Amino acid sequence: MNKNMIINGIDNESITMYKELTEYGFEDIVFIDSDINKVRNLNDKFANTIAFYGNSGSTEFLEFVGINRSNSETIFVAMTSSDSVNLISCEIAKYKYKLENVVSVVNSKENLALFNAYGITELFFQGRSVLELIINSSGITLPISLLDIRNKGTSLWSIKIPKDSNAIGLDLAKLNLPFRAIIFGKIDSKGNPYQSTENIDIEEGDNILIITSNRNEETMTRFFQGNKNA
Amino acid sequence: MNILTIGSKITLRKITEEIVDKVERINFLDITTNNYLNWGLSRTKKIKYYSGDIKKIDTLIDAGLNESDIIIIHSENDIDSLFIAQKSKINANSTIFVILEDLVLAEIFESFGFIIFDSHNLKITKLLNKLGN
Repeated sequence: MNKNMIINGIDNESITMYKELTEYGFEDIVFIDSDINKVRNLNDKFANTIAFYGNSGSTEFLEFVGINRSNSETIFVAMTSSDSVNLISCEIAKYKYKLENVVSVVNSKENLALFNAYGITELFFQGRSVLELIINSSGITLPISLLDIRNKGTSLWSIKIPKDSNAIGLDLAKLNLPFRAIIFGKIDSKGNPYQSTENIDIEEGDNILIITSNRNEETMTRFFQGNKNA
Repeated sequence: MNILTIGSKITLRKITEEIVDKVERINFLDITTNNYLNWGLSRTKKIKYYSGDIKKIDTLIDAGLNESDIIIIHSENDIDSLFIAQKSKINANSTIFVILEDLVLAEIFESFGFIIFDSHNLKITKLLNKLGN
């Protein structure tokens, strides 16, 4: 089956993205945006019209750009700077047009759980790596997603145990998390791995490896956070 | 019943004028309280005004989201209204009404549990029923 791609949102990277996607074999790509100047500027760079101006909350417009094209599998990507536009357009794509391939950028961390809760699980959080670096270096520990389990809204997480963590001294084998999760084990500060079945205490600097739903990220952070940061 | 309204469109003014005597408290929230200056609703203990970034959960909570039984939303455009509605759904016991300009998206969001009103044909029977009228 043919594939067509609709990318909601034009930015400085759109030209590069278009070229890279065509190198990967995608031929039928359109960009959409509610800013007519962005649409004009992008179209000026190409011989063909690849960008269209309109409201991504309008089903009429989405159908015009090919969201329900017959004999084609549509991939919908939302990458505007507005989380409201990204979420609602993805929900239209997923729930009205039953698209299976829906991907979104999330601009604000507080909205990650919202996207997951409404089934938009193929997410890229704009500020995650920089934010994690800054926050982790300030003594507060955030879980880091090592691997997304595709289409499940679930990830393999690593969380470093900070100095004042309530979890220090707890037996790894008896760790009782307040949410559904699989605990793989821990890697101590010297790099030694331990399985979750081993009776060994959790110590400062350990990294705990956990599989759990992305919506549990904040609960996980609170559970492993130190008293001073609680 | 405690009510939180988000936005300052004329529809919200009409609704609140109709229900103000039937509820215990109404909190109004928008990006600025200036939008309520000509509403004529008095500044009593029953009515409070809040402002801030209405897409942020902290703003919604500061305006009384957790204590609200009913939330009514009509913000700048349908996308923002639906986004705020989903963000406001943190309490299973609260009922969320969303006023839309275009009903083409109503079906999807009614399936999520929201009650949709048409801004061009405002009939608030479901809201009045909820208030026990």
